[in-house]
Amino acid sequence: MNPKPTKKKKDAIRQFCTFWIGERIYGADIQIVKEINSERNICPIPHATSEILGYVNIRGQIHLIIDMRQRLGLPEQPVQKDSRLVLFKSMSGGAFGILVDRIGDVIEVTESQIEEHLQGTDCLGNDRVESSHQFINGICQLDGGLLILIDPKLLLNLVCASQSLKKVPVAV
Amino acid sequence: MDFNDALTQEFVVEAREHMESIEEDLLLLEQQRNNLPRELVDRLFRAIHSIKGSAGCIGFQRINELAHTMETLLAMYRSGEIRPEASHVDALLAGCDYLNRMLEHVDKSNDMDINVPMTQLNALMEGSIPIHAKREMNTPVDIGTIFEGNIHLEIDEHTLKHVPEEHRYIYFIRYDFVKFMSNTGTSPVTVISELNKAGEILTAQLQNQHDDLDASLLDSPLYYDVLYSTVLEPMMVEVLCGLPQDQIQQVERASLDTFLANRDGAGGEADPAAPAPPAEQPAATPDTPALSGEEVSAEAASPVSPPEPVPEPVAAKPTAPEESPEEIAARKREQEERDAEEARIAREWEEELARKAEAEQRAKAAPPPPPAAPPPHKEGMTMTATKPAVDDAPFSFSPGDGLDEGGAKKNSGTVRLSVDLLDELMGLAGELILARNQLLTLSDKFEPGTRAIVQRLDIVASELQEAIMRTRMQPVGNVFGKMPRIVRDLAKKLGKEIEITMTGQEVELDKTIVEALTDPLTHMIRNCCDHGIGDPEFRQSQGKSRVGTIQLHAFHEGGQINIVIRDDGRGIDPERIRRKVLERKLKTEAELDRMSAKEICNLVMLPGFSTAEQVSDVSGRGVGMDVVRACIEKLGGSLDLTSDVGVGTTITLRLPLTLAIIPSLIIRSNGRRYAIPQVNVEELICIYEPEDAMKKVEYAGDQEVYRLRGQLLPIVRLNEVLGRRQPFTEHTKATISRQYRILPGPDGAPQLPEVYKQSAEQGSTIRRALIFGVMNVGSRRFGLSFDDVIGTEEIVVKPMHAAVQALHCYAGATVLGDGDVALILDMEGVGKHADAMREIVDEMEEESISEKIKEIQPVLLFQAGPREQFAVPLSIVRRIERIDTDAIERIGDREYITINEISTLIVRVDQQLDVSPMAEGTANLLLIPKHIPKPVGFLFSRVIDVKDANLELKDALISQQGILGSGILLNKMTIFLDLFRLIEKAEPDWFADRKIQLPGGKDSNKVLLVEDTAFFRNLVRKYLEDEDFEVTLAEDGLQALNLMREKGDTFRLLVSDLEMPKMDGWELIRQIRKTDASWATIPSVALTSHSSPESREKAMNNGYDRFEVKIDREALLATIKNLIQEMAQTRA
Repeated sequence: MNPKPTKKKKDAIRQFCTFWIGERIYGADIQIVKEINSERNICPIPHATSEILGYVNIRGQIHLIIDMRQRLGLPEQPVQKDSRLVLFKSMSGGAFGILVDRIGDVIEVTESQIEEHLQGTDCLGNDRVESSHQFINGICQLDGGLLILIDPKLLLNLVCASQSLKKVPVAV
Repeated sequence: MDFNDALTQEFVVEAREHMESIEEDLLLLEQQRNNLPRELVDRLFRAIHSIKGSAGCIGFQRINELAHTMETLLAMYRSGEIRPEASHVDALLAGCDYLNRMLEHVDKSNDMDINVPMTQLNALMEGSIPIHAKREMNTPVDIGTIFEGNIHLEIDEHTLKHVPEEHRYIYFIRYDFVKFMSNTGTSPVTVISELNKAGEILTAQLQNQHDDLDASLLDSPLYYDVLYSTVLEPMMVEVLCGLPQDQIQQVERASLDTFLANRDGAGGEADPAAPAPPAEQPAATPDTPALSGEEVSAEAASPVSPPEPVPEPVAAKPTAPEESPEEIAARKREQEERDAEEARIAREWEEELARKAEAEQRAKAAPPPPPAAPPPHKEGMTMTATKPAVDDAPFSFSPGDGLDEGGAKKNSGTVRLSVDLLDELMGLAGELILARNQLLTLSDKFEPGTRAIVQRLDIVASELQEAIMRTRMQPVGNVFGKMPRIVRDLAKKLGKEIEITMTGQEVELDKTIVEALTDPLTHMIRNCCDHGIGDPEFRQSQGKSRVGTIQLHAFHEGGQINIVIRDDGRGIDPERIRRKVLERKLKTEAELDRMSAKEICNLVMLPGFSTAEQVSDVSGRGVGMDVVRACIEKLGGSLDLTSDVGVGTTITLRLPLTLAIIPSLIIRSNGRRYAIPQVNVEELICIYEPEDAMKKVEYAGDQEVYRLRGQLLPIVRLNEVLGRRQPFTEHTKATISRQYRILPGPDGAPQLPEVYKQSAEQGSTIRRALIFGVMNVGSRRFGLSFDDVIGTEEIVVKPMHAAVQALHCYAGATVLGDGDVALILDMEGVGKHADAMREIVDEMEEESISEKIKEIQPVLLFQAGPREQFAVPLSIVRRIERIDTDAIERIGDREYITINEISTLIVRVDQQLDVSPMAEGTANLLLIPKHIPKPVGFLFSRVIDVKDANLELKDALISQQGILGSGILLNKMTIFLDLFRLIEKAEPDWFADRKIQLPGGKDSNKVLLVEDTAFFRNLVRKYLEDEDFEVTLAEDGLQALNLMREKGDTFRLLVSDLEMPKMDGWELIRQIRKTDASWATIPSVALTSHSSPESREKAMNNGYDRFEVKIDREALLATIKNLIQEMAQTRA
């Protein structure tokens, strides 16, 4: 069930569901993506940090939605026509999903193409230690550019940690 | 490993179930020990026997040992060797505790020290088991010899002799668990429990004992030899144990008896020195009439020494009967010969079995051949197959104890399911409902035929959801069942005599609630035992029985479950609570002065409070009632405590049926909807006019407060709470209150701050200055203001996602009827966030406020005809209905309308009074009054307002029947209506039978009416005068008492308010009843504005004959009539 196969074979093929956030293309292992949804009716959760967009009802099940633009520190923008919710399977941590700008194709990548993402570097391998990027678990060079692979579990941990009130400086 | 875990799991679950019934039954045993029902002992025996059997089979040695010892003691009861005593039950219960502990940590159970209960049990048995029984127990018999083949099964003589008489067959069954399990999928635990259901496993041995039943060992056979006694015929046993005939051997009971007799005979010669105890036997038997005479005689003749002992064990056991060395040697030789013979047979038998196993192994690979007797694969089959046999069998328990049905009931047809599965089902049902809802919205477009199908789907889906909800329900008896044991142990420990009675165990609650209820309930019961009920001597000195009682009672009421815990102990002394509270500085003296006795009693639930003068290890320090309350409130319940000094204490818990669905208030704040659990909402208050808001909202420091009926209520603005992530500080509160403060403008009119206009635009269409709900959180209250009330809804609670659980303002989320998500507010979190959970110091004087409030009551102003303005006190208005004038039906000269399927009589004010008629078409509102026994409504055209009005009315101006008086409101003359009189005018027949006949004629119609509020004084006076009473008025108790002293003899009836200045109604009646004047027995009725069982009781205890609510005219007059008649009768 682990998105990363336990025995890594260099030629094993993995499929990634890709999506655009800002100018970059990101991907999540297709095995942990439950569905893509275009629901727009989102109930905000006051007191939560701005990266938490709110709750959304998908067929009677309430999902928590994380705004990826906020998470990545990109400038705010209203929900677009192409914006979609990427919902993850519950093994990644309860019912939750992310809001992305636009959906890309499903891309097949062999294991050898994936470069382990180094801790302490950002998505581009720069030496910037930025905690907001620590949910990235690999990058992959494609013809069209760089595919950044995200791990929803890590993402959720980061979001969860930032909710605690103590960590936020007292508002002036 | 998985296999082993699953097996252990199964064993633990099963053993736990047995443990529950064992505890219960042990307590029963203690109660009925003088007249022991055989069924009870059997049930106990079987339960502990099952645990022992399974534990031994899976390799939990310690559990097996302890269970075995307990079983031995129980076996002694069963055979009538000893009678149970209280000390035995203690030891057995202690054994249970150890077993429970071991079951909890079953993996470590083999390392646990069980010396304490073992020694205790052994010592008891040592002391009370008759010598011959002891000897029998220590005498192993190799029963194998009566069967064919090399069977070596050791069993002690005592068990063998006391095989229940109705068990006509003895079987030897050899299971190969490995094969058996792979063939049938039945686990050893199930095998053992199945066998125990229909008979008794006398002894069992696991051959080539593995350390555990690990999967790696599954290839080699694992034999489990069982000696089994039952009533079942051989055929049935085959079906029962699911084995082919060749693995079962049987002997008839008679041969066993012969076998035993032979042994006894031989033994008698072998050891003539052993004393035959003929005297003991008859003494022991009367308790067990089921024992056969045959057996008794066999035993009486038995000189007990073993004829064919297995040398080693006998020698090892210290209590073994003494034998001469020659005899031992002789027996040894004999035994050796036998062993050699047996070894030979064993080899053959084993070879044969091995061959068979091999054959089967091969067969398993190929399609399985049909076995001689096909093993049943399902439990159900086994049951149906065995049941008739059991029914037909001559079960002969002790006659007439009628417990058989009870025993049978315990094996009802149930299936064990994982809760996760139920939760999943619940979730799926929820989705189905949602899909159905969407379908229903489309159903207009369907063909007629399709619509019927959709409707059916609708019904089925609802029922499905309901049924699934029910699967989570569990009887509250599951928790109650633990209480008798606790009470018993505590009573013993504290040297008290306490009885517990329970009712309503069958009442069902959500599983989560039932489970969470254990701790608080245990704590309260402990409290009852420790603090509530006194020592027997103390109780006796108080004129109570030595035995204290605790009642535990569960029942449904209004969609909730109530649990009442009542003791008849010394009660809670408010004075002592007061002292304690002051001592601990939990409240100030001024605060306490303002509290009623009941409120003071409820202070025991303040954090850090413990009433026992001496802190005992029973209730302990630290955890107190505050924790209990916190627990209950977490479950969405509430807790209420009442107590009478010297009489007892009653605690009432109110719990929701389920946590999953809660009734809630849906409100709007900043354009979003939120749900507030109804359990927190006391009332809703809406202030329309900015002037009112300006006057009523005060400031205590930086906190906005509202004065609600004399009490200060902090106001929390939800918009601000949700808009500020950081918990409020003084600074925040100051900012907020400045923002919302309504100040008079230059012209004196209130100026609304900007923020009001915003919220009004976003939210509702009606402009309101302030709308808030009074929230009740534990002992604190605050007003939560929001933009709009949307309604109430039963919502399904979904927990908050883990990532946002740190936010303490929410209790969860829910999907509303239209599919939108709404957050459920956690009122405690909101209150804390807003820093509104603190006590507010009231700076104003109490007295002046309450004086003012008394005469001022809110009244509903409305219009019927175009000219007059009418008013009625809001307290008698049930509701206002908007109606369709076309729906009014005429029958004769009366008009009716159907509201909620109830035919309601319409009264038009203009037909009863001389006022302007309503214009056609404007009459579309109906006022439904309270306290009227029949459905009736007043037709009117417009609601003008709700205003506080001074009810000191001038009644001279307009005098018509049906008018109370008049006053000026909103600069207009206003007529105060007497709705009761109007109804009576419209429908005189309704009241025909109520006319009060005064005995003694006109001279004796004087009534003394005591009431401090002018409005009610006039109202009640009117009621009484209409009935031809001559009313004398008094404004307080003191005045009334003086009047009584002057001319008490002339009054025929006293009607008095309770809460009054100078002298209250309770004191008044005490004073009256105390005197020895002739008027001391005057019939009296207490009047109150709030009716509760407590206030009723208090009034009656003080000496009132009756108790009524002020504005309920019908009830009051009926009561008076009834009272007067009764008095006349007693006098006659």
